[in-house]
Amino acid sequence: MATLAADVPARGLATAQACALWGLEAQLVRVEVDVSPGLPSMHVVGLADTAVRESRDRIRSALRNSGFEFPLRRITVNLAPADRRKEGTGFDLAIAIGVLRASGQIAAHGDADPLLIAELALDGSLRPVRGCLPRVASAATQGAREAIVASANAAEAAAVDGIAVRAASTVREVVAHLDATAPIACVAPVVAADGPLDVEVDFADVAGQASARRALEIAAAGGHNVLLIGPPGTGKTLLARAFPGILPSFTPRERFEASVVHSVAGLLGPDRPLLAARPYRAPHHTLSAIALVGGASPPRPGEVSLAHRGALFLDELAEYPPPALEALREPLEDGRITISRAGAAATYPARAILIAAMNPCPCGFFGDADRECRCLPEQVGRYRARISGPLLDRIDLRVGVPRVEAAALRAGPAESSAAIRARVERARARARARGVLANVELPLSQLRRWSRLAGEAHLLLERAVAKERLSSRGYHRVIRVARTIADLDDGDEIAERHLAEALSLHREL
Amino acid sequence: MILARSDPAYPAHLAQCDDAPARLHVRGTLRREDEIAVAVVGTRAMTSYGERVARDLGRDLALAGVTVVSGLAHGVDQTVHGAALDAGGRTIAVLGCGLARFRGSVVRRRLLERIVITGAVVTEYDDDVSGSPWTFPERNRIIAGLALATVVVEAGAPSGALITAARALDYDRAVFAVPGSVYGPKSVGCNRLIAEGRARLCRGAADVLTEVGAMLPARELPRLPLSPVERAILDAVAGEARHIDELARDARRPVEEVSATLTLLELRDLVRGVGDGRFVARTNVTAR
Repeated sequence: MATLAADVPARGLATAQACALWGLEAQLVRVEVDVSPGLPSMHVVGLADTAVRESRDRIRSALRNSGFEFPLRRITVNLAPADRRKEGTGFDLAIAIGVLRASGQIAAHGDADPLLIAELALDGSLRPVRGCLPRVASAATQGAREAIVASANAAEAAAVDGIAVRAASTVREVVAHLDATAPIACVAPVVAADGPLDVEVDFADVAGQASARRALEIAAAGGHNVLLIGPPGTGKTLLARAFPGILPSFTPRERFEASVVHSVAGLLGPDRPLLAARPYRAPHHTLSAIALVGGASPPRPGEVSLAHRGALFLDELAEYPPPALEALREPLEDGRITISRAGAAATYPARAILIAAMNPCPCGFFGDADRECRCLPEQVGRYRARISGPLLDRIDLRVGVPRVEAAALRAGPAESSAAIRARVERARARARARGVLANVELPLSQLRRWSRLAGEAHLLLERAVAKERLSSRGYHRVIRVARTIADLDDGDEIAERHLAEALSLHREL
Repeated sequence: MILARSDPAYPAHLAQCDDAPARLHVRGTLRREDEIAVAVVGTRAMTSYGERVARDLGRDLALAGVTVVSGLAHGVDQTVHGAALDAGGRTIAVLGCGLARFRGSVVRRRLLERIVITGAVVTEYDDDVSGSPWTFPERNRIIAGLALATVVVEAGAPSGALITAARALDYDRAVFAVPGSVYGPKSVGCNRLIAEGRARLCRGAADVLTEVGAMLPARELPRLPLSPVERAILDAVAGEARHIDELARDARRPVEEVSATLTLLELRDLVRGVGDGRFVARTNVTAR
């Protein structure tokens, strides 16, 4: 016969509220805990993965080390809805509180049924979980009014409107709040603001490279992708590093969207509750397709999603594994990626500006005025063929980056990032007037509506098509870029010079 | 304007032909220098090879100061006229119907208006005569009669272009044919002309120009219709391929303007991109 503490009743049933995350999609989960006579055991049912089932060991230790009783009964935990997969450690706190309620160690909760999101340490302290921001945000839209999270997650959770967020650091604090002996105050909402721009290179420090600078300005203004192609040491990487400095500041919606992805990847912290500036990701070319676009089981966002609303820089594009590059096609086209795995599919946003750089040939000096290229023509062809046509089709702006001559280096400082950024902001404001954040998001029907061509521009377009300078697929892409160029020029109508420049940037390299 | 055969303004070479039309309806202007003319004709259903040859011939003949004559039909004719105009040269279109009865596509009607501005559109038919199966072969004798030499770009087995070539031979004018694939149905006519020794081989404008060159009097060659910026850029890429950035700096123009200008020049076949953002002028257009 097991001896039980006198104040633990023989049986009990209680619930607590948690939230499950799949991809960026979150759903409220009702944690049901049943304590009944039987052999001491604890079962978690409701399609829980290993991390959830392991929670019983953490919960047992955490409760005992916090001075509570872990009932030596038969404990059944159900996570409802039971047909949806649950993963991760974010259910620990909700299950622990459910156990305490079912075993009568917390007074009946009445109205107070807060959302509980935290992982437990064995000593009873609360640890942060990945994806706290989207969980709290979804819960708020699904009707939850109060949430208790680990202190380390407090700042990001507080960014959500319409829900009271309280932060606790131990199970005891949570219990004290629930039985109203020591209520926890709400966390003050975070005022999201632009942090100081952490950009290594200013465009004022980039000598020459007029056409590449112009292409990057157009890219930032319209959200278009860019390919920089040129010999090594000509400043392709420098140009790409300077790029974040001309990106427009976040709109609140963009900041939230980007921060959610970073929350799911566990990249937000108390010191960095929301992204201060647009993300800039520059993964090395040895990464796998899954690391680039996301995947694994349970799914995690890849680099292209982490760069959502920001820029993704792929240096030495031809060196990336072909499967990784081909996997980029869907996110580049649609601005999101859906990862289907057994059981469920997760969709991550992936509206990033791709800045790709590559050498023109294996040795790198093809077309260089100073150094002789040692590659055979077929080697050059093979090297360039690594970038498939469909991928290249999705890169609207292609520029040759030449070696900078001494004359350009001697010239005074070039235009600063701030000056370029001001023009980019104005162009983006014109795009917002059309109901999108950037021209790259304009659906075709809207593009037609907003892209009135001047008479001469129309003739030019006809000629370009007749001369096979433009494919039908390229047609709309060129018009879209021309729309951005006209925006930078503050023009309502697309003039011949806008279209000609867009065609020029659409050139085969 | 209507020119009678006795009129001094009536084209001289055409007047020498026995069956020259008694009266010629003209829209646009015929000039003295149009006496130095080469006809370029070919099939309506041209291949991409034929289009390329027609474009190069039209441009290069026009740049050499030769007036280019053709029939403003689909395909080769239309391409040749367009290329000559783009290069800033003179061109004459001979119609197989009355001037008021021209029924072409929008593109060809627009082309006709461009020809009227810088060349001439002529026909022997009165305004209200519609084109019919016999008017077009008749018209071909005028094309052959106006020109010192006739070049057939692409022609199938029976072809109007072959009729033009036959009339040119009747008038004792030089005939050239552009060779094609021995399997190509659109090159059967040209290859046969060469095989039978009735036409000389044409590999490009140079072959034709050596024939008519002796007849060219010394005179001013046409200047390409170019804006100052276009001219400066064209001159800058005359010798060797240069990068957009370099051109912009030397011309002290914004790079977006230079980039747009180069595309316009490229679409006129005056420059070509060699990759990596560098451009070079096409041969034959330098120093104009």
